[in-house]
Amino acid sequence: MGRRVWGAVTENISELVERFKEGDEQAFNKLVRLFEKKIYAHAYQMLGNHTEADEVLQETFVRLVKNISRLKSDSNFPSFIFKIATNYCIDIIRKRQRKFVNVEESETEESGWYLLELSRSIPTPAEEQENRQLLDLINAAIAELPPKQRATIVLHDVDGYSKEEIAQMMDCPQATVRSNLHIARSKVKKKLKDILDE
Amino acid sequence: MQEREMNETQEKLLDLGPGDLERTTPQALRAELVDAGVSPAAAALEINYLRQVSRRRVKLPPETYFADTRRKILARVDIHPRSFWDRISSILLPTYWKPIPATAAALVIAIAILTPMMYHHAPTRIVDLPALESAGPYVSMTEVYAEHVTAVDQPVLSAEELREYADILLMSTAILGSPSSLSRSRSLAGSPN
Repeated sequence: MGRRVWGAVTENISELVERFKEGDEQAFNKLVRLFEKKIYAHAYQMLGNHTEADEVLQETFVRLVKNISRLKSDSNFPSFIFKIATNYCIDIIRKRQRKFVNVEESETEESGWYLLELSRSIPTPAEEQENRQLLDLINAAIAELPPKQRATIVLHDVDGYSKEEIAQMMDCPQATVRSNLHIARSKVKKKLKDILDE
Repeated sequence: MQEREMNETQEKLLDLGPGDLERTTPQALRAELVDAGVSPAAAALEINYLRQVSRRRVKLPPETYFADTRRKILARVDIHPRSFWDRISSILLPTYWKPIPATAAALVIAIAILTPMMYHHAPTRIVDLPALESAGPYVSMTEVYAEHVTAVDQPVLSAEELREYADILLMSTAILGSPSSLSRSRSLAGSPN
């Protein structure tokens, strides 16, 4: 998705980034509008709840302002901003693991927030129910993965980024991305075995 | 040989992404993989997995939420046009220093440049020429010393006082027991023992 989606607007993004670097607040505002939904969706895919996805969304743009001077090439802006968001998501997952908090379950059950869905679902009640069960299984399988494997599988298999882009975002060699993806896929496939065999 | 083939198959499967599902039908994709040497079962499993996982989508909150978040973000950041100092600091300071505010960077640079200059100009600022002239001609330290310090001809202490002083020193040395004190007290008392 990275290249497919950004390709057409890369030139425009580079121009906005250049203006933002010069201190143009309007350009920053436009960049926020351009990326806010993608960042939110990515954070939600990683963390599975609105509260933390909201925190990631805000913090990503605050950190972007502080660290924009570190961006070497303006055309790398999408990878750069997703790198900030992914790193913050990984920090949150690690913090959560240390505190033994399962926010995903508590939020979805208690507050009624349920923002994940399966696309292309046919809105008949029976299929809706089936989709919900499948989604719960996928969510549970992804939620059990360690932070970096979770980030890799979401970025590659859901968001559609290439291994090269993921390696850039996660500051690691492509071989590590491949290995993380292979392990993560094996674990998720094991959990979804019954569904996938059908 | 067999292991290498398995690795190659695995690599091909790993290269599959949601983009491939959008590009073509699952059947066509399966045929492509089988042609590339992947077993039909492995290809079907991988395509089915990807189809299910990539369907996971986030239902976004309403637009009012994003508008509110934008306001919160703008309240937390300070964006201003780049100053001269911002540009200088971006050239001079290493990357890991860049997050520090531009004013602090400007201050560091100003101190680094001005301190040696101030040190260099210090003598010309401190020297007060009229005061130097009023002090009269140059007199060397030796001459000043010779003028004001005279040798003491007479001993300061009498023989009786020296003996008493020696006794006190010897007694204190005996109490404290320090050899260095003993030798010093003997030399002061003028005694060879």
